[in-house]
Amino acid sequence: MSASLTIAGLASLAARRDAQRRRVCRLYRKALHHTLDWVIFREPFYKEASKLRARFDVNKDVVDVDAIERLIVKGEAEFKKFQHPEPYAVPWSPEGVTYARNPPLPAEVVVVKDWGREDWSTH
Amino acid sequence: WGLLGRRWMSAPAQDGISEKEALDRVMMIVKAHPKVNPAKLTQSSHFMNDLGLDSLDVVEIVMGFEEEFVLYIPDEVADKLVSVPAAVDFVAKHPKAK
Repeated sequence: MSASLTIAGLASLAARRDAQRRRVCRLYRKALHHTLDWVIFREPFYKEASKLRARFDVNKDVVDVDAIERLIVKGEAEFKKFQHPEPYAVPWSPEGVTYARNPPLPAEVVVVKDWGREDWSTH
Repeated sequence: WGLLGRRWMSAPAQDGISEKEALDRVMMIVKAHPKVNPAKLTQSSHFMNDLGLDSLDVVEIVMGFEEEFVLYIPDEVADKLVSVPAAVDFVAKHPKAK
């Protein structure tokens, strides 16, 4: 504990806690998305989300960095066990179904519509 | 003829949404969060500093944005959406925001 009382020690401790905070937020985010994937309907989802938030809030006031680390590792292992096998992703996103489905044509390709039939408004 | 233009069968133009609409909808989503006090909410509120929200509450609000505007927000970008102007900026500039 004496190492953490120096200025450099405190700075590295703060950096570690910041990294842990980010990890917790990302775990919560993924857990929320996957909860919505398992529980498709909104009302049960709100109940399950409240339960999940309560579970996260139980450990809100833990200060010891190592204890937080252990909790995060436990949480991530549990997430890995209960994640949804086919999570929903927005279609155009990299994990979605229409990703790169109709990419824009390269600039060299010129679409020439010279029969007039493509111009429906003239009918 | 009833067809007003030749795009009626194809996907609509993906230009995103205007700033004003983005602001209205973002404020609506933030207001809907149970821990937010609507009286304190302004156009330039910071979620954690002004509204006193937790980082997990911010995660919930960002998920609300993802669902409302049908967006994919990667983790690195989501870390930066910590205030109303940042969120409005992101949504208004996104080409695929619905």
